[in-house]
Amino acid sequence: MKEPAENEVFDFFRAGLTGAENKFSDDNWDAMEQLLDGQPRKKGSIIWLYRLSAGIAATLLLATAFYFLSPVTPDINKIAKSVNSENTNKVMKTEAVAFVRQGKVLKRALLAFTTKQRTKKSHGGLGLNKVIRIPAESIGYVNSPKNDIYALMLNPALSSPAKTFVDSISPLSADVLVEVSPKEGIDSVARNKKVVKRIQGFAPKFALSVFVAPDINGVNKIANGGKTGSNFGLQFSMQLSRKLSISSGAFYAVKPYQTNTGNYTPSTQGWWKTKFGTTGKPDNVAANCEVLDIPLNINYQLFRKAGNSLSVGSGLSSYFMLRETYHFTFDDPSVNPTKFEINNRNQHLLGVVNLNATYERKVNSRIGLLIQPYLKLPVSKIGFGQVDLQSAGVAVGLSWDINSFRIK
Amino acid sequence: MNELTQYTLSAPMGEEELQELLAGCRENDRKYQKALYKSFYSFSMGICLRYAGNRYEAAEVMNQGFLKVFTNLDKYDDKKPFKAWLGRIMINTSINYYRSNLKMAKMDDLEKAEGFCHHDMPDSKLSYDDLIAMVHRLPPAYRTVFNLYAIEGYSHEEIGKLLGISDGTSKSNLFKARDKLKKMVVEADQMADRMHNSDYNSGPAVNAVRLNMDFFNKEAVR
Repeated sequence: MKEPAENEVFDFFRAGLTGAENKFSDDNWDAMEQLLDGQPRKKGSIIWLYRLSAGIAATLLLATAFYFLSPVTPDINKIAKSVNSENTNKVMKTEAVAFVRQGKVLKRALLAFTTKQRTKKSHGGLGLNKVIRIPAESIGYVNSPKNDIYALMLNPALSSPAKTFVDSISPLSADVLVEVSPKEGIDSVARNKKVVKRIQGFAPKFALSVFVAPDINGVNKIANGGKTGSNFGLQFSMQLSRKLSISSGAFYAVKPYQTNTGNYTPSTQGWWKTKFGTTGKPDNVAANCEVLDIPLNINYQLFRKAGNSLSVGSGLSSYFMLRETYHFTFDDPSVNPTKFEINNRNQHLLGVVNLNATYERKVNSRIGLLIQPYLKLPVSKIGFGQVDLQSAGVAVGLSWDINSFRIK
Repeated sequence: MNELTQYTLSAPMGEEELQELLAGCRENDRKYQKALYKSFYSFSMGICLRYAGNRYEAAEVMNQGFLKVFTNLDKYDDKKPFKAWLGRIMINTSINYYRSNLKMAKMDDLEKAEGFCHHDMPDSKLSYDDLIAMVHRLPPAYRTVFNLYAIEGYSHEEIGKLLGISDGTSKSNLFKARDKLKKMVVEADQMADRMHNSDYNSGPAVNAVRLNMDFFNKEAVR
């Protein structure tokens, strides 16, 4: 039974609020007409958005690949051949910057830069990432038995713009930086070989990354009622070899989706009947799942030049369903929607396949900017409704090279 | 079109006329859709205005509701009253529109509202617009429960099930809504009294309720 005061207030408002005339507005009908006209396009807009974001991701990947695959190597070969044929004295006459490039192309080379070549662009194309400075009236080169030493050697008479150039590229590109004191000559390069050897040996690297990622979630197909979710988390990665690394972490993800209840199979048998009784089975479900995503991935580095790298990765994720909220709706909109919520009920250990590509741009020797398009495809059925919940998105993040100090 | 104008009047519509309108709407005939929209505009807007935070949102929610009506007419059971079916759609659409805000409960709101329970309800005569403005000033969580319980006549159990909240939260939100509404009415009444006295002593006559609303608007901005 209601309290008298309660009735007093409610009666007052009930009497005043019901039965009043609301004047028809042509503006509202115009908006209604737009809604009626635009209805078919509305459904398509989600797919259109999904296609647009997929297109952007693909363009990004292609642009990155194009950047790395652009024909820089022949130019270097050309320069290297011409310089190799010259004697060192001739090189000395120039403001010489020499380096040995990784890979099959050059084992040993002295390269002469003209003033024009001493630009950041030429550095970007040539992709130095291990640097040795040799000033003080000497030039030299480092013979790399494993073809993997990068060396930059400077003529003592370097002009200040050239020095600026070297200074500017070194912090960007140096995984290894050996500096020879100004009074040491070419012999010092030889002495430094052991240093170079030591540092060229593989040492595992560790990196910590923080990611945020908007993504699209859909059942059976990503575009199927695709809804935008969000993820953020930390990832720890360890390099196993020059090309391979493993990574794991913890991501908090909000995964909303909408689907027909035909795709939704409650994990409790007879649940529809228990929950809805005579109302009958609902037609649609709008879900909002809070998930702890623990991925375990292996990554392979495809390219690495200058401060840029591109890798592809794959692995498995475990989903811990922290909270699952479902709104069931009926085709007949006059039947009230019903909400159902469960917490920490479902876990899917290694139940989701991860596929990703990661582009990393080094901001400096420690910090890198990451862009990672990814796909998450379940191999087990997800959540209380046992749905095939797929996700696609583009993560952006920052990585921090934990042991970058040790390398120096 | 002329034969349709009769439906746009607010006078009660005959069952036969309604069925004719619905048949035209099932054919997606825009003329019949407009006629149905006009016929039930006042009724639908009345519901949506109570659940919405302002008139713009009310219009948006109402149109969403009508879209559901137009696209789901094949699911309407002719044996049941159309107006009730439409009303439930408007209520459900309103609830869904504000669903993310429905769990909100601020303690400070309750504290501010306290102290007015001992007042008697004044014998005020506030206009429909004044009362709607007061309802709009309630937080969505309180407003929705107030509407469902005090106007629609749902029980706390039904409200809890519908909104995904506990019976206790429903009761708590209702009491808070009641106290806040009562506070608004009492303040409006006190303000009207003050204005009346000051008008009596000197100055031209002013619309007391309109001034009350100015007072609310300023407070809302603050």
